[in-house]
Amino acid sequence: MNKESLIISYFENNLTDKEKLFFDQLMKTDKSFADAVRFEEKTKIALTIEARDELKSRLQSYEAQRKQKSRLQKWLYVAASIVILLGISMFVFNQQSSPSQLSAAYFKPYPNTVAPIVRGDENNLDNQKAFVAYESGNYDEALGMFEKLTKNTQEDYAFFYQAMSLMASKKYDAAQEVLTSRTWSEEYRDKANWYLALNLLHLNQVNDSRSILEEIVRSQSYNHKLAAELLKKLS
Amino acid sequence: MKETERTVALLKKDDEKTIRDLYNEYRPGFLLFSNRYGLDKNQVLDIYQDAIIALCENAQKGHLDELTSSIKTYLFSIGKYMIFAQMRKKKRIDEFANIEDFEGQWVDYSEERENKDIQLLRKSLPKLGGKCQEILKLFYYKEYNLDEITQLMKYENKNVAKSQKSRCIKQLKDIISSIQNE
Repeated sequence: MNKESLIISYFENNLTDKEKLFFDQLMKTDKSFADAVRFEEKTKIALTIEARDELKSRLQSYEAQRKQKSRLQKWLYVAASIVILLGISMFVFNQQSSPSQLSAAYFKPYPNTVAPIVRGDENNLDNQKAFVAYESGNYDEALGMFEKLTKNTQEDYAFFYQAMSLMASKKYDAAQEVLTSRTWSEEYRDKANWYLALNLLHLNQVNDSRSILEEIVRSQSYNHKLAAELLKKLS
Repeated sequence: MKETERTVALLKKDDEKTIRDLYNEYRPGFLLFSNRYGLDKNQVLDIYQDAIIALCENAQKGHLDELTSSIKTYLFSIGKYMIFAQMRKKKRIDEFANIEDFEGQWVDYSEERENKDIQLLRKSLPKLGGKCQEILKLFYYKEYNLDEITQLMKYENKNVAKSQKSRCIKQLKDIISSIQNE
């Protein structure tokens, strides 16, 4: 076997015992042989390092892709959370600041100050019935009765409580009609103004409502403190 | 063909998708498994990558042809061997505690990286022609014998492969001396 074949068999891990002895001997005695073997061994190591580095950088790129992917996922989670939070806060914000919602928060049907209900009082029966319905919260029923009373009596109180009943049953257009169609007597003027301001908010006429509220505050009239508070929330 | 054999066959072909899938499949388990050794995550990932490299390398060299365990078991044992080797290097443990011997299947060449001759070789190898790079890589790195190379590279006979290989070694030596003379 020549020296070249011997080296090949050595790298093929294919030396017989006898060849192995010969190989070891040449390594000790034949410098050019030993140099050739060492050169090829180093070549093998260099090739191995090269191949490993190449594969390693591929694996590192998988790792980077994983990180990128998880970073992207994290980003998507954050973005989704922000969108959801924004949605919720806008919902809450809208809830709080919609003029109609604000108005509803401040609206309380004006109490019955006209006809205290006294058991057994047979006088003014229609009037009594209307206020019984009004006080028990049956605004639809009360509405019909107050309408009848307005026609029969043309009294301010009947129009005023008609307007109250309309607002309480969310008939804001009709309420608007009643509240603005009269020149109110002094007893109801200020109250009607306050309820008109609230009703305008339901109709989304915020600026008109605001000027009425400002007027209420300026003149320190009925519910002026609430008016000031409401103005603040409207701004 | 069994699942393991199929995977080994694909690794022999250096199949990109197989390597990537293996890497991603066993990564979480390996991180969990190596938790107990107190290495930081980057060290563990570095070792895991080396374990994958060893797996691919040994598959290519035919060491896994007779594999009786699963790929996962092999990968984790070689990874464990590497973790212990690193801990020993850092003197964190005194000896290899009953660890399977992978000496024959994995040699860490980190010291050789500093060797001047190796560095010179690494600079010269890319300057060889493509055919030479291929034949040398097959013979020395993948440990194909000349018969297999003759077949794979469609040489007329083994002698052609043999003389081709010795021509490539000579070219490599020439490149080195031209670099040294620069």
